[in-house]
Amino acid sequence: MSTKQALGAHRYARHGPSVLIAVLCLALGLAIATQVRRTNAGDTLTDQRPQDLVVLLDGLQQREAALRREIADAEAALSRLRASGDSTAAALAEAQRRADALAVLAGTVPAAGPGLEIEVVDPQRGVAPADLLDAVQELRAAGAEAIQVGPVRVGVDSAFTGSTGAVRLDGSTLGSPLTVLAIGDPPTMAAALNIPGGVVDTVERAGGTVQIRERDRVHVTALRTIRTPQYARPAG
Amino acid sequence: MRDRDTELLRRLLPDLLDPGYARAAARRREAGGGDRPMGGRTQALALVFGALLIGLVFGVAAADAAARAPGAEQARRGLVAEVQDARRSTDDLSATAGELAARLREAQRQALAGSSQGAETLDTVRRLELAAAAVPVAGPGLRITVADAAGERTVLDRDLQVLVNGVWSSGAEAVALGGVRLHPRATVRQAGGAVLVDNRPVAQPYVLEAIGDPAAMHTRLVDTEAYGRFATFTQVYGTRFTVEAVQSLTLPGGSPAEPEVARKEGNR
Amino acid sequence: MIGILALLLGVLLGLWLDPTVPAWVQPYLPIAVVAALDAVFGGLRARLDGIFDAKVFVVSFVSNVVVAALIVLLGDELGVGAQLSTAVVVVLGIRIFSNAAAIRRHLFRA
Repeated sequence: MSTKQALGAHRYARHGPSVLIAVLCLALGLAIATQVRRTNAGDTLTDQRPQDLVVLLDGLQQREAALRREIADAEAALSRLRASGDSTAAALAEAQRRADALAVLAGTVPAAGPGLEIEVVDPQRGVAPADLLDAVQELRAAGAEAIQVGPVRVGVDSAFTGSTGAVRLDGSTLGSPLTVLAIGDPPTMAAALNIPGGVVDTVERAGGTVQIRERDRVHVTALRTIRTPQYARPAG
Repeated sequence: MRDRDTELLRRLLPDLLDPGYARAAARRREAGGGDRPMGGRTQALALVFGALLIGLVFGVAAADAAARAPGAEQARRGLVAEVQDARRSTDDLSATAGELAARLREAQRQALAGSSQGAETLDTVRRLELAAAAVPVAGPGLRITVADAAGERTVLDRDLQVLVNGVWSSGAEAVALGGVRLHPRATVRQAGGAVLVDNRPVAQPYVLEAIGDPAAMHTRLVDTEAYGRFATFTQVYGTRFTVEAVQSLTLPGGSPAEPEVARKEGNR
Repeated sequence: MIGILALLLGVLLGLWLDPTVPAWVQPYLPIAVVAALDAVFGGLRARLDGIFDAKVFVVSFVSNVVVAALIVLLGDELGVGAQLSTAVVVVLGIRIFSNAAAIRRHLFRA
């Protein structure tokens, strides 16, 4: 072995262990950091309690069902377009159908269907804006497709303002008795309102009453006007 | 000092091997044989017996431990697996739905290319999609960040709903929570330390984005009940609540499910 | 080699049979497992040292389990069962580590 090779080998033997130690320390540090971060994250599913997991699962399953319906509808529409001889008429019908569905969602057309007729009486003026907001949220979670509170059709940008006993929706004052109409599955929506600590409980605790009637046909006649957005532009 | 320490350690943790082996080996050396034991058959039998017995202990203990996993823990693990499956499934379905929607749009556009009534109807559809929050939008606005202080669990779905309500009342034109666009049928539901926005899990910190006039919205927002509520949270619980104006926000389109039982009524 | 095969066979047998362990045996299972591990490591080390004796192997395992169980049983009667159980596991654990270290020295020197 030449002197150079000998020196080289010697240097490797001298530095080899320290390099190995450095690498091991680095790995240890990384492992510690990762573990600490994992412990603090708290976002991992394994940290969730069973009841939270059930809610998560329920939400995901609802989304799954909605997506499957969406896919089925889209496939049906596509096959209708292809199958029909006069494709323009079919496409027109399909576009009109979509427009009608969106209009019901946006609140620009009257709608009808099975649902609930809810009467809220608030003699002691104890019902707060947040309570009615909660009612709308519960109805939506129970699958309500169109909602009208008093004279106002509820839309995506609807907001409850005012104060306890003097609630306003989108600027309109809501009196008492207040009629709420909701189109959807009647038993599901009624159950959502009746849960302990829910809307019925809250109103009754404020000294009011809630009467829920299930109907085969509810007519939601109030309409919303679409404002052209000033700041939001369609993107992508 | 150091010598006594190592001495103590050495005595506490001696090089322990069952002394039986050493004694057996010593006996064999005295008897004149080698270190290895003779009497192959007895040895083999004993070895097999011993190994089998030990294996049985391991196997039984393992089977017992698995069977005894407390029922609740097993159920929880089952749930976690289900949630993970459901997540994967919805991700796949979401991708498929998106593709199909794009194909349908394109097919419609082509089919209605020649017809003026078609163009009018398509235009109506686009406007309604915008109104129903079904298409992505961009513009200036506010970004509000909400997060619990470490170790606290203060902010609930109700509080977020009130905040969203406050933002709408301040003049927002489009709102998204945790990157999920709010549409006419979207809900905000509590699921442990996170929320489900339109049935999609959103973790903390909760980021609410609203497109509109940043300055005007901020001014009106400060007057809302929501702002007061969160200001109190910050004071009492140390909740993080920041409102910043943003030049350009891009919010994805929402996916409102089409009504199933509600039908347009009357002539319009 | 035959020992390892017998060990695997025993494990599979135990998993397959899956006998319902009666409640009174339950607390002694962990001790039995640790004693079994100790016997396995001790046997491996003896094999590498060249002084393995199957009879010692079996006797050491069985006696370890019995003695450990007796100690814990006595402890239960005296009210210190959990602590003695821990002590037994600790001591056996130290032995396992010590033998494992010796095995490692054998393997990485050779």
